Amino acid sequence: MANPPSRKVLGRINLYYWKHENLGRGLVTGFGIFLAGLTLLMAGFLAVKGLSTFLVDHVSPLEFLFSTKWSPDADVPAFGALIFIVGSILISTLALLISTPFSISTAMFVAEISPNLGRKVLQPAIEIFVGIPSVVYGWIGLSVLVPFIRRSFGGLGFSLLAGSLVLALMIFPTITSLAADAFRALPTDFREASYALGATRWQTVRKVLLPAAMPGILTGVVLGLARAFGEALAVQMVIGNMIRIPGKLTDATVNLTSIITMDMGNTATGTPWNDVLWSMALLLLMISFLFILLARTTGQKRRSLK
Amino acid sequence: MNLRKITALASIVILSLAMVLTGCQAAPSATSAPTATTAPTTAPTSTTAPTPTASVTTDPGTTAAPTATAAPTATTAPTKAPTPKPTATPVPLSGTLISAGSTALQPLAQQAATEFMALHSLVSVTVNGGGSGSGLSQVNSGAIDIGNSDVYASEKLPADAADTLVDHKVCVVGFATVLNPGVTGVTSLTQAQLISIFTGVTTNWNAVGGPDLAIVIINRPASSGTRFTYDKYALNGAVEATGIALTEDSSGTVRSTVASTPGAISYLAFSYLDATVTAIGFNGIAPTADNVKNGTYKIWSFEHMYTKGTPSTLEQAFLNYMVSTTFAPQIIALKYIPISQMTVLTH
Amino acid sequence: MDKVDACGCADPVVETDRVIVRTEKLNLHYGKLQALKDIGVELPANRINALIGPSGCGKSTFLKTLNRMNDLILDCRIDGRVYIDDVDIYGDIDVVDLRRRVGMVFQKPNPFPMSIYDNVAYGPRTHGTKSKTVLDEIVECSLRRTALWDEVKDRLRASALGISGGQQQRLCIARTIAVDPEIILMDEPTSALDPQSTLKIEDLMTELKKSYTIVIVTHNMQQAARVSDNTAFFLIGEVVEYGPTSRIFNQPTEKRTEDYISGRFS
Ligand SMILES: Nc1ncnc2c1ncn2[C@@H]1O[C@H](COP(=O)(O)OP(=O)(O)OP(=O)(O)O)[C@@H](O)[C@H]1O
Ligand SMILES: [Mg+2]
Repeated sequence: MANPPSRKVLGRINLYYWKHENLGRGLVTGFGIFLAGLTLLMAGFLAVKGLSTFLVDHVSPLEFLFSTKWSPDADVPAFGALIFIVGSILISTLALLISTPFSISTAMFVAEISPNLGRKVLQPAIEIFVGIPSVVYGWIGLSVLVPFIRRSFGGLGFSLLAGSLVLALMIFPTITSLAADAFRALPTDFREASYALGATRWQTVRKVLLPAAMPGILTGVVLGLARAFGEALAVQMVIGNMIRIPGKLTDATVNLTSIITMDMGNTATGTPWNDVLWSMALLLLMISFLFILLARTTGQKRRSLK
Repeated sequence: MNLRKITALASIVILSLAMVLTGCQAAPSATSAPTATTAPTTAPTSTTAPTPTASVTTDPGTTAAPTATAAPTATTAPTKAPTPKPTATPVPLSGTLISAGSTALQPLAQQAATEFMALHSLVSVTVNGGGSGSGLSQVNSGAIDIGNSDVYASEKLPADAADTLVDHKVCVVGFATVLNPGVTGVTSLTQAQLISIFTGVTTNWNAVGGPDLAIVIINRPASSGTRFTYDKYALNGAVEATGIALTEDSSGTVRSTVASTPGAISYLAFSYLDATVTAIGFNGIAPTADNVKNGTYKIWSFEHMYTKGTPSTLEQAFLNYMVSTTFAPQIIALKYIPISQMTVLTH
Repeated sequence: MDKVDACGCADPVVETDRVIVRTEKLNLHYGKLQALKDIGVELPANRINALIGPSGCGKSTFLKTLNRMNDLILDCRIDGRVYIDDVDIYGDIDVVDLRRRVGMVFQKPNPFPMSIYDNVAYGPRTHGTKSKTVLDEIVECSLRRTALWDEVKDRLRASALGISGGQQQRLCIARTIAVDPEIILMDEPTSALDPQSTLKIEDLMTELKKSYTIVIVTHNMQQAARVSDNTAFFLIGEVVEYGPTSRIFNQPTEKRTEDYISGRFS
């Protein structure tokens, strides 16, 4: 807004522009580098802690990844984490299967069918969903869902199903808002072209917009999955934390985040038991990075398509 | 569009970072223990807080508190009892104490800290949770001054590390077997019955005099101090069968889960007992503080505060306060048992 | 056009001056803004009808009233009558069927982000054609008629977004004729294209008018003069003058038309 005071000065660094260009850029770059450095530092820290299970305590990585025998407090301890890994995969995948159809439908509704109602009612509602702390989801799951499942489907109520449902509810806003963004990002041209060919709104949404928005939706799904894998508290409260691979939906089970949060504080640093928990955390981080990579590549595919 | 995606990605990265952060216990922020600024290593404590307390903490077996037998007296005692007033000390206590660890002990330690700071205006005492294992690791590494634990340090730390820590037993906590109120007709279980239940042999309440109802075991995590104590004294160290029990992270969730799950059995510290669950006896003895004190009820343990080596003046003063007669009523109010009231100190 | 005949979907050329589109006292408001005023025109079948006029005068708006694309715009109000084949299209008709009969090509090529084949097959599929052989036939035929077949026949499964802008626009025309409309509306179809592609599309229009009625909006006076049979001059929502292109361009009755065509209009 203000007039550059020394605009006409030649042969010198024009301080005005320097301040507004380099300073701003430097600041932003600085923060960026700081954050990237922090990320690397955390990853490195986790790697050192997580790898000592194998390097210091000489637990075999194969045992860690593929054994179901978990008895860290036995005289001859066993550190097989497969039950927890399988639990995490089952709960997250199921949550995704439950959530995705709802998310995509809601995104369609918000972005295409009723943008007005969507903007005024649904969008804010979804945003509130994001802000609810996980412990609230957990308590609702514990006091409503668990007894409901116990009464309707038998079993203890604490179950794979309860965990997946709570998680589905938690990742619903993530997937929905990213999917809605994907729909909104589509050029109106597609809609006009489709209507002009005599397609109905539903045909347009289903046959043109949905496929076109798919890469964006997939990004949302992958990020939802990443969130599902990392969520600890709410899931832990409703899955029962029974150390076994569930045989059916109403069976209780356990996952990586639950065992980490339950045992981390109670075990002493440097003991094999504690180290194994760090290895699980490292595994979670690696899974999370993998998902981010996946999300990025699907995102890139979308960009190159345009 | 891109911006939103970048923010989403960033938030995921931050999320995973946060995950990492929460997993990592307070880094050695206060490494060099800011011990008492007061000077020499004389023994100012002996002047301030005399008799029974100190002897109990050092050696429970031999010098078994002579005063303690008449249980309720302590509550009425404080009139004459010597309190650790700073009057006698030549230099007022000052400095910072950081304690962390056991969540079971946390409310009690917090209460003591508040009162202790009211007595000594130059002292600041911080009490954190984090779990017994974390408390022990941190006091061992020097990150904190006092590590609170539900179990002996040797149960958590490697032997060489445990040897460098000094144990101060600060109170006794009793544990009760609890049932869902729907399990009627069972008022006490024997050790043999409990072992049979927790190892998955007995699976129906009708086998132990209850209704025809499946037994649902609710455990604390394997690393929990409560579970350790219960396994040791109620189950005589029997190995619980895995994969048949639900696990709840905290005593609070254990209580609500037992209350809402038909056929549920679990165990809770006396401080967590309320009307929503049924506390039952062990080998025919009711789970009361009096039965713990007189040695008939066996499921109890000490709560420990560990220091790295000999406690500093300030640490010793705080530890003394924890076991002082002044503080005893608070211990009782929070449903722990003062060590001074125990007639037995071994199981 | 042997190839066209070979694929058997060329309509017989009808050489009449049958009126296919007729409007009566057509008024259109966007909220308070009146975009069309008392439009009364008659557009003959199998002709290229050009709409010219300065920016913002209502050409696109008029075009969109013919396939009711304005229905999609919220506070858009339409009074008066539009007849296509003597049926009032704002009366009790099926909009989906109307849009099938009145196709539209947009200013910017807007192929769907799917394969070339699927783009052309989209319309027929939407209207219920399932048979693979029939679809194959329609796709080939439409692509041949837009002179695109030889250029893309080897990559029908490739993304439609990977072909040039000119090819994309011809693909959009192919997509439009694949549903076999009677009228094709074109809103500045060549304004985003290079001269060669423009020429190809103009040739294509001349070819297509044998089978279809074309209504085209253009800012290019030469183009209007070159390809159209009739021209309507729009000014601030009104049709100032309408008639055979040669007359409009050579002996306009209205001073305003003359000014505009000769470029003296501002
Ligand atoms: N969706 C709409 N909502 C409100 N007003 C509109 C809308 N579309 C067009 N208008 C207005 O209606 C008038 C006619 O617009 P129209 O798009 O038909 O002009 P045009 O002749 O096609 O112009 P151009 O040659 O620039 O494409 C303009 O004043 C325009 O601002
Ligand atoms: Mg226009």
